[in-house]
Amino acid sequence: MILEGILAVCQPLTILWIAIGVVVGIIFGAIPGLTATMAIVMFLPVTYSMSASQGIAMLMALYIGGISGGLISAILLNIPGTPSSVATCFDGKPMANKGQAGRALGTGVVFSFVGTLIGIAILIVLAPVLCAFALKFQAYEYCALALFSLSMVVALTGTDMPKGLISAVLGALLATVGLAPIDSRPRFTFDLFQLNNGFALVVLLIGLFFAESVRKKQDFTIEENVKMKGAGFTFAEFLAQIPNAIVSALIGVGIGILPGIGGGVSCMISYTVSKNTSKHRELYGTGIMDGVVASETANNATIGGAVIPLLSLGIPGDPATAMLLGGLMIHNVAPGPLIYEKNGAVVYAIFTAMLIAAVFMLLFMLWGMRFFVSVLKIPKNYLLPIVMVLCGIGAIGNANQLFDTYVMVGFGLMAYLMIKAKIPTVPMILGFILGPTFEQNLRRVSQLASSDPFYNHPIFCVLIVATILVIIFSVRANLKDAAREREQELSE
Amino acid sequence: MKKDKQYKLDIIPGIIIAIFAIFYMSKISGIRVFKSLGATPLTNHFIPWLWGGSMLALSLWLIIRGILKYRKLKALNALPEGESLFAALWEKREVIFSFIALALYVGFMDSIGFVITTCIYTFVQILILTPVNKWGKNFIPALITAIIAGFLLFYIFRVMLNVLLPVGIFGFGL
Amino acid sequence: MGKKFLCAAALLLVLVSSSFAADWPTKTINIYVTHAAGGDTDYMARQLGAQLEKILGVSVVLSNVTGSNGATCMQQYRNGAKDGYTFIATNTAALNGNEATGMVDFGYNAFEPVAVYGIQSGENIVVKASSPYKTLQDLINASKEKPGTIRLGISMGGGVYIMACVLMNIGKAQFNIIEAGDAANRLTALLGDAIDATSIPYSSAADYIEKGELRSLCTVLSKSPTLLPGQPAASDVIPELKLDTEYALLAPKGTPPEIVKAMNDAVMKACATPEWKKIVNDFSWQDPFYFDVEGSIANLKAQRDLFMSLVPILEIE
Repeated sequence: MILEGILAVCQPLTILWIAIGVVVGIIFGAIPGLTATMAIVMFLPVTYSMSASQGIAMLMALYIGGISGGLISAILLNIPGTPSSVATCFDGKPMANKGQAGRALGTGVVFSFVGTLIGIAILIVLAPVLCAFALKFQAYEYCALALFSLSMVVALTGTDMPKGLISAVLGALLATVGLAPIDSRPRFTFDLFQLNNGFALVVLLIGLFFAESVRKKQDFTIEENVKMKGAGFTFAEFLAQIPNAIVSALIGVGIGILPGIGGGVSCMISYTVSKNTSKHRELYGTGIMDGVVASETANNATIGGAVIPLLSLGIPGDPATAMLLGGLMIHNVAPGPLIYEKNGAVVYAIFTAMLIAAVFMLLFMLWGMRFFVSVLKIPKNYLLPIVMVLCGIGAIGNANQLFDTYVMVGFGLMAYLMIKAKIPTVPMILGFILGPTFEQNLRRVSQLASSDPFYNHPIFCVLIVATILVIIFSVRANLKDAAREREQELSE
Repeated sequence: MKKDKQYKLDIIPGIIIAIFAIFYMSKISGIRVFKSLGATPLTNHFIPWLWGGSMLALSLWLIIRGILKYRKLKALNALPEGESLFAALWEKREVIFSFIALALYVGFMDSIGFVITTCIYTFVQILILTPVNKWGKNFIPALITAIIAGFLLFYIFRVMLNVLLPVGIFGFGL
Repeated sequence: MGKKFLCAAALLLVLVSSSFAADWPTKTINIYVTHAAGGDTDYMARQLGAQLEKILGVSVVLSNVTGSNGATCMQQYRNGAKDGYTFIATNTAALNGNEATGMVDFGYNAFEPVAVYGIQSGENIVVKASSPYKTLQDLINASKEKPGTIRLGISMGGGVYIMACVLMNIGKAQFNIIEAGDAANRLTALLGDAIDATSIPYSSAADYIEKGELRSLCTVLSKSPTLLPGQPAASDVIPELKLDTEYALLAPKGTPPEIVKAMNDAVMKACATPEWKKIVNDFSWQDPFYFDVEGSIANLKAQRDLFMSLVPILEIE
């Protein structure tokens, strides 16, 4: 059965589809505004007419390519190509500004590969055990998990706490527009039916980074003579990053397993954890490898994590895996507890396809690095307008709605004013993603509280305690940073 | 001390955000509450109140912090000189024109169509980002870039990938 | 003069529209799908589109315009181009359900129905296999014995909500109603013991039933799918509990009837092929299920009448 699955994939045509999928995925991931999810949505119908193993192999390749491609524009343009690469900007762009664009890209690519491999390994070995754990997460646990993740905002706000918190609350507040979770009553839609669906995360991101790019146009010019040797870093440096990568991968897989959180959060949480456990936390954000490693390992490890409940329970964790589920069902492969018994060959075909896609991703990205960097040689007054048009296409393509481009302009203006007012925009993304999860589960908890009190839920209690600890720890760290900043100013 | 001079960056955003939060909360009462089978004790009003209220509280924090900074500076007689609004806006003309161009672009895309608006927008946006004294040299390359971008992107996304980009006044056989 | 002019105009209109229909179709047909790629509504629409391409000889392009259980797309295209090249593919549970639950204020009458061209394998009411309930009647009786202790997981606003209202108000069951989200979330909740019973698509439940983790009490379809015969139907216990999800093709209001007829002919031709039978057999365990224009409208009307008769018990203000 294992052999049958491997053989199903190791055919020239299937491998060709995987290669195409990886390349298309990388392109969609790299172009701001087009995401991995969109790549899967657009190519899913193409796979309807393929054989099961070909179609599914291509979808997996699109997924892996798409999540990995996001690092390119995150590092080179400071625009995360997909939500999963938000945290890659934090250190990736400063590295590029220091003339280390090649090194940053190499780090991102290699650790994306490492992250993908760890994710797949855990998927293959531990899937059944982890599924039992994922089922323990119900309303109480999700409510606490959303709170715990939101507490990371405090760590991400930097030294100006009220402004960071405003940003996060603004994100959560924008996410309340549209049909309310649970009861589907329209909120703040002003009778526009287009607003019923609320704002899309990708449209918010496009608006944010549109503002970022019109403001800091000088960021688009970097040193011409980018040195490119291998992956841009030494073997010793690689070894030194291993512990960081393993922790980040575990965070990535963990978040991937829990349906409904997703890669955008996993990269930010692992970045924060990496920063706060590091011996040199003050260097994060100035352009060090550790930051890129944390973000890129985690978001790719999330892939393997997200496939675990998808295959073993038939439960998709995010829009991308929901599409994959559809792709599997259409080929009469029903994910669920019997998938190993009924469609074992397909499962091993999926594992094989993921491994091949990961290797292709590594090869294509390493080979393409020179080419990616040369994008920066395009004069910024030509590059930027094209990026903006692509952003517009991405906004339309998200839901085939022209209305979303109006939203994009609105968000762009808002983000520009926020930047001018020195309000950070990253906490807003976290608030926007987690706000609805928090609300939905909090309201479910309010329904359960009388019949099923919270002390029956140990995971809930642990997470709440952890949340409180994170907040205390982060506030202290931020105050210390603020004091150091003030000292520096005084000494100037 | 440097940070303290930025009291305006606390007060003005604080006021705008406070007004926004009040507007937001004024709209909450108009949301229909779901009361029938399976309704949750916390209704769909609760979270908007929570976020709106937090927003208002945080904006007040900003305003008060700004006022305190202002007082401190005034006591030291170190208030920074105000610059004229017009000069500040002129400095940002690139950004302002970019936003206007983008707004017009998306505003006219539906009626005129993706290809034409994209060509015009790309061309205009390239010029906006190019210093005026270099316009002459960039005119033709900008035009070529714009036309290629318009047609190529339409072909890739509308024709090949079925994204519903507006076709507009020319049918292009679609 | 005025009358003559009107007559001439009317004649011209008839001429134009008939010549319109005679050589229809001449260009690409656009079908807007109300639900996302990967779902059953999308899959059926795309399979139909592929068949129509062969029959009509023009390309058929499908685009997904999603959101609000299909309401976004229907709102947007119900007054779309009436040129006979714009169609909407949806499912009847969304079309009639959204009207009954008050999500939108229009029904199938706001469109020119073209065809009902398929039926879903439906949802089943399921419980854990370790629970003592063997039939829907057992479950309802148990809930009456101990009111408020058996937790029924539902999601608001959709077909499952209608089901819960019927169970509670007509079946007089006494469940503790828990909001548990979409089908995947309800499955998670049931497996994780956060609820005791719920309704999920047969396709997601099948493996769990076979493995002996879950037990199906009944289907909520009016009758069992042809390839899954012998399942008890919920309507045997409560006659009003019939949730048939059928796939429908609609045209914007005002599309010429000749074109609607011509399109329906093409759909019927497509559905009569052995190829189509294999597709629906494999995908939804059903036999081909399709009607002419009148039959499709009658079918839509029957479901709407049933849903609208339930509005008083849906308690939506």
